[in-house]
Amino acid sequence: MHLDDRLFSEKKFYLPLLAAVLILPWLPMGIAGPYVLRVATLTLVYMVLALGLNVVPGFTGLLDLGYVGFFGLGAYTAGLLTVHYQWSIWLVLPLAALNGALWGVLRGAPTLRLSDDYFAIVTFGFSELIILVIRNELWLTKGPMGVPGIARPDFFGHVLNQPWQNFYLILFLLLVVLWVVLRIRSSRLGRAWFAVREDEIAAECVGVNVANYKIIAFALSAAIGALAGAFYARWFRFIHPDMFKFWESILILCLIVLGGMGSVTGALLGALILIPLTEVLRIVLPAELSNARYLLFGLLIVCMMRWRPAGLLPVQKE
Amino acid sequence: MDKRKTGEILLQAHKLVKKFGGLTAVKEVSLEVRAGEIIGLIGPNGAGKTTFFNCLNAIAVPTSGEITFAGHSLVSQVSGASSRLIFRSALLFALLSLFWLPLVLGVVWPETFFRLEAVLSLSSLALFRIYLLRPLTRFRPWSRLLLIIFVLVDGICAVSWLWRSAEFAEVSFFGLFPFYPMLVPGALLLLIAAPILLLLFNLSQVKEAFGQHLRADAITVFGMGRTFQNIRLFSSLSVLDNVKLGRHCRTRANFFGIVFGLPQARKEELDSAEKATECLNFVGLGQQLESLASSLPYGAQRRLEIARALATEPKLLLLDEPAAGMNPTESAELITLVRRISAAGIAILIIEHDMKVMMNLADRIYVLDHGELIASGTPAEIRSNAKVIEAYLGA
Repeated sequence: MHLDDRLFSEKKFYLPLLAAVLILPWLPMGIAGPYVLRVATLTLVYMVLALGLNVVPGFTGLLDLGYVGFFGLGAYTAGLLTVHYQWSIWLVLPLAALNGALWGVLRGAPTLRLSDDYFAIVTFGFSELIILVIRNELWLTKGPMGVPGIARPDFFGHVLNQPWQNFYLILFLLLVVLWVVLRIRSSRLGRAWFAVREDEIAAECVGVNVANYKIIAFALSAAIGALAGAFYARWFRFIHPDMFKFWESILILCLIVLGGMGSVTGALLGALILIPLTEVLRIVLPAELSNARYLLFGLLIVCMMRWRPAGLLPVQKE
Repeated sequence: MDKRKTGEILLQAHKLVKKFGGLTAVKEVSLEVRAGEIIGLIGPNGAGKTTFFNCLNAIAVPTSGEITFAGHSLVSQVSGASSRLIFRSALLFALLSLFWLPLVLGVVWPETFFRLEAVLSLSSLALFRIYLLRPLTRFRPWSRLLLIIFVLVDGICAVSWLWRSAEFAEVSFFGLFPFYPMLVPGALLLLIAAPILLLLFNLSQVKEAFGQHLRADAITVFGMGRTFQNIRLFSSLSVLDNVKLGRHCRTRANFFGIVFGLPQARKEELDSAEKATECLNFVGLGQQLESLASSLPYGAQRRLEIARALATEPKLLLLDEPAAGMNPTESAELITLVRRISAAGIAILIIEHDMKVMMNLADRIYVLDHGELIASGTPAEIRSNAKVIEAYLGA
């Protein structure tokens, strides 16, 4: 039985994990405290992103090279709504997710017939398109000036200023997303996605409407990405088109490749390893070499491909 | 035999033709299957047997001909009445779009259409349309076209709207009158929804018109299950999950039911696990529920494929060379299995090379050669048919 099935159903696995995450903000970390918590929050954001991306390449088997587009879309939807209307985050989060889902569908609907490589190119192009629109439509997004001064998240009128409050908020969002993904994974819907991944023709012959299920996957994946983006905008309080570069798409893809495509625990583990690693390397490496950390990243992936080609927690054991 | 002859006609193919470019793979083949029969389809390699199967369940789209299955026309020509219906609704849609455009262009309420609202409401509008059109995606060519037209019209409107509203850039946009602008898109929404509702209320006619080619998943719901010549299992899934997927077309749980664990969805899940196990026991794989499909031996994979097809509750089962590559013991087991399926009241259409298997299994046999139907009849008639002997059995 795969770790995915056991980790979240057996108390002896998930209770200690959850406890460890819950007490993290209260560990004595001295002056490094806020920084560590910041990295932890960022890691959780990337965990949400990895879970969301996993739905398309992992579950449905279509390579998505443009996930950051939805991240950016969610961030800008949330950021602009907050700046202009001062809406609560609990209203902004679902709206951003819905907007993400919509654009996921709009991207997915015309590309249903495309096979793997061509689909990947379209996803790449689409995310570049989103970022280009964000960069150039000054009237809407203020373009390269970015959107500063976004309000922090709030909770029943109380502004969440403390780092630990934001940490718990994203933890809550992560748990919600995890809940959705796990429920679907072991259901009729998830099985239909797996069927599409394995063999589209056979899937049609057991009555799976391939087009519909692909669209649902696109919508869910994009909605999760936009949700993460919305939190990110409210947490970081500033958004800028440069934060959503192509590199980020590849990073998120790396997370799930490292963890094992299609594996939920793998996606979480990938984020847990790679995101703190960038921060550790930033400190360990001398300043002039700090950009070389991406080289180490590449090395890590190459080693992975050599010794664990299916990822750290592959879905199936041969 | 006599009892079977009186069974109602389940599948009827009439002058089915399939061309690949200049090559005619299936030439005017007519065939009928009655409920409960076992029908054999034989022919030398490349005779078009598998292509014929693919046409039956819409994996391939036939060039011409008609197929009726369980009272549903799978391939029908568009009648005059239904093409008029298409034309009328397209006209209505176009007129309403014309009505919509001036609104969109901001002629009526120039200041109230702010861009962010415009983008948001257009987004929701497009989403709503796609949602409404969802039932039509079961049909192949026309629905796609319509969808593209709708989305294009939305796109054109959006672009022109944005272009025009550049002139109002000085107006302070946000927070002037936050909810009023949403009323207008609401009205527009109703306006645009009208032709779509028309389509939906005439769904039976629309289906007739749009149903030129039903897709394979829709046909599976009507009760046509099939297996493949080169086994097509979901190889990285477990045996049980493979067969549960067969239950897919008989379950209805949607996204929300699944995520919130509604009782209906949970019951369905238990139900499909139970039915799947039943099917696996039926083919004799009840002991290997959790093993990977790809890890099964060859013969077991064939049986798994049959179990998966059985889980769809078929009225007709298409078996494409189920005994290919099997040793004599395995193929004897397979014959027993096919007889048991038939005894359960499921009609079977079977492609098979092994004449011995065919002769003592099939009620009637159709013989294809170079895409043409050269003979049909009982096994005894086929064995003595001169054309068949020449083409296939070997003189």
